[in-house]
Amino acid sequence: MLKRNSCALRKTAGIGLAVLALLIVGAVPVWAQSRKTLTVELFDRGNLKPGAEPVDSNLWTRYIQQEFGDKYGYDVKFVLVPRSREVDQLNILMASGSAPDICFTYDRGVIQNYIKQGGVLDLEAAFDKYGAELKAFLGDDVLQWGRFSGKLYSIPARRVTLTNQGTLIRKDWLDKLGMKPPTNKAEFYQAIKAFKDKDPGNIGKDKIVPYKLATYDYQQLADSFITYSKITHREYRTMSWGFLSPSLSRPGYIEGMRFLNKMYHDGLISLDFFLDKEGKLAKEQIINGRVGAFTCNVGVNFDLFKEMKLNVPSAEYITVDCFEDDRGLTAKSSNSRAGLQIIVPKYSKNVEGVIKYLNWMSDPKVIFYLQNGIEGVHHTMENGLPIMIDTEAAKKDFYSGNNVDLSIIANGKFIKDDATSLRAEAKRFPGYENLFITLYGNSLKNNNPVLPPFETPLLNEAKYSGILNTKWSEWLVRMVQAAPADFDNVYAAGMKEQLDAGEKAIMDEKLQVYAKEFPMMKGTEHYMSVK
Amino acid sequence: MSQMASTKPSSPTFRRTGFGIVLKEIRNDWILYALLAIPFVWILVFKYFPMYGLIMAFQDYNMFQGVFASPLIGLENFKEMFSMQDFFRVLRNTLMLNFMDLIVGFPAPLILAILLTELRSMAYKRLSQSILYFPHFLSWVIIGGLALQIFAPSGMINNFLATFGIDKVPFLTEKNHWLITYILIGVWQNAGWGTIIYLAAIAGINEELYDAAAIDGAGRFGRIWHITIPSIRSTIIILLILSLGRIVSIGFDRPFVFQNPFVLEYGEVISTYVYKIGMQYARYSLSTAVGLFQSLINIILLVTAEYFTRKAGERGIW
Repeated sequence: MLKRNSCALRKTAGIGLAVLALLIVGAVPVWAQSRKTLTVELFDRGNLKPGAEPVDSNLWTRYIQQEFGDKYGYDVKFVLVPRSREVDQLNILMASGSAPDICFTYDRGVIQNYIKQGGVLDLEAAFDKYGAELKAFLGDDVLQWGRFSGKLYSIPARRVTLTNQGTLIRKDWLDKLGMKPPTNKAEFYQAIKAFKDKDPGNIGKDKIVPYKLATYDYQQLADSFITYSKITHREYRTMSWGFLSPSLSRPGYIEGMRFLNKMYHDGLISLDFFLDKEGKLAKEQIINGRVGAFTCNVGVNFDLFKEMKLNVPSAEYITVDCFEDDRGLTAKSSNSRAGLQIIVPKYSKNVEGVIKYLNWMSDPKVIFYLQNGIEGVHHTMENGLPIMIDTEAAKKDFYSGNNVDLSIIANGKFIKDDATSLRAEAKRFPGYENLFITLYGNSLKNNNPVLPPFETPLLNEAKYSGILNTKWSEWLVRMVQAAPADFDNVYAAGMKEQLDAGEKAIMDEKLQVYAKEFPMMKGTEHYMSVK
Repeated sequence: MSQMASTKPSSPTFRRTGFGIVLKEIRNDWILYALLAIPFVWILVFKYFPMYGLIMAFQDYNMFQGVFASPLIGLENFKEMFSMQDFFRVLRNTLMLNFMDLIVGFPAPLILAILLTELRSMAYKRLSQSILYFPHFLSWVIIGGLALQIFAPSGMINNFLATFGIDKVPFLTEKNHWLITYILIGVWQNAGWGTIIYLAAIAGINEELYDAAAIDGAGRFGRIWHITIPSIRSTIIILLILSLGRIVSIGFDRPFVFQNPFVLEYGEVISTYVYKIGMQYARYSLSTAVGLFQSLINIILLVTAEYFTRKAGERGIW
């Protein structure tokens, strides 16, 4: 009796379990299907530190999945793209139909190209519906950069620091030589020449780097020779004023190049940075206290100062703002408020998800977590500002400065507002906060107005900017290295080549668009007089 | 044969037609054909099949519409290509680098092979061979990185020269110096590997010829000049034709790794140019047109070289 009962019991239990298992297994795919997959592009900078988790599977991605994915019903997957080849990779992903829902790039020409081919989606509708907080966070002066012909094809990130570049010079060397910090270009030239001739740091004449340049850092100095007092609004809007491939036809620029040429032949600058693709040589020069002065993006190289102090305790930099133009002002270019541009490929089925994701991210709490991590582990709080913990264990979890690769709608450390954010950013460089803030302030003085984009898309710019960017370094090398007697010819030849290679086509198109969008302008108004 | 035909009159396999014989050959050596099938299929799939993409050269390619829907624009891309100020420079550089590689780099494996054959000690010969063809296996990225460390203005050699007060030599930053450095590194990388083919060819030369020459009074160099080289003449010519046939295409890795803005006057070649314009700026149509042009020149050269070889009495490639 008992045996039979237990047998029957076991049988029922067995059947019951089997049914339960089937239900669970059957339910899982149904449940899983109710969650959509949202794919997000993520830069891989190839800088994984020992002991760190993979770039696409770590505490940040888990946080994102938990706080966004689980709550809104999405499986968030990251698609890795090598940072150094981000444009090539993006093109390939777009062309092969495998681009993630959220793509981004800094290059506006690339986006123009996709728009021309009908490859990206207009985000206006979804943005109005789901992006209220995002709209408030970004603001109109950022969003205008996402509009092309009136349609919202991209969502730009908000740039927290607006500046471009500043110049630093060695105070200890100036003191040793009894010189005061330079207040104009002539004095700057004297100072770095004295660095080279007199070697105030006693490091050996051949080791001195009087004025260190890298990639595009010469622009501020060269641009200061442009005759800004005569530049018209029309010239300002139709010539190329960027740093990737500036127009050689700008009035006065030839003198800037001539100045660089002179400095090169006097041994004050070197073009070695072209061979130093990873910046190793540049780092080594600063760390060993060999650099007399340098110009670069605000904040760059500040992380090397700690080690520099260890090697050369007397080394100290101060900031100078001495590249004056023909108006006596230290004109500088500046970035627009918009940073990274986020786009959605036309075959994406997840436009809503994209906007919801970005909207969720615009919550200051979320940005704070992504950029600063966990209190006690990655940062400590001091007067309401996060101070990053400077140990290898704490730093290894960050794959990019301020985790900007993940917090894609905020380019730069964002806390509440610009002033607080600036103080927080300065806190990243203990001991050099004041230098950072002063440098930042200097780099904003006399800034040239940011050019808002034209309404009409610029097809020639999309077509030729690639070639022009590629050739720019060749022209630069030729002009800087030319024998001083040949310089004028070399510059003229370079200018003609640039015009033929596409610059003229771009300018002609811009002139037409300018005439259309600024019909009241006569073409003689000074560029600063127009709002 | 005829008995077989009478016992199986209706079976087509054993008919004495050309096709019948071919089938029989295949049946007899089916293993060889099976082995050949794999690379054959590989070539069909990866080299012939993708050729449909060549139509991109005649389209205004829209990456979102794809190859079958993009608008055709005829020869516009080719017109743009010929009007690009850089195009002829790039073509010239490709030809120049390849030609110099040919002149300097072609004899090198041959000379090395002959030298290796003359070695007495087998052990030393084997050791040298291994050391010589090791560089072939290094990727150009590694070689480029090494070259930078050694030849850059702040690299090993220039630092060494600086201690003696000698001026820096712009190995990589002046276009003429760069050219020589580029070619010689190429020889270093490839010469050892090329010797393998020549060594195999030389090994096939009849020993008696050497003995006869020695008896006739030929010294070491006489033997090399009169026996070794003429005996491997066919091999040399075939390899020469193959090299000529590739003279308009040039690998991508090597020029790309060694390029820098100082030397683009000589250093920009078709492959790197196509990469920059095509891949980086998504001008896929234009870069396809350039590639197609390159292949066309290659074919013409190949056929021409083949023609002249046949005329000279050699076997040629096909």
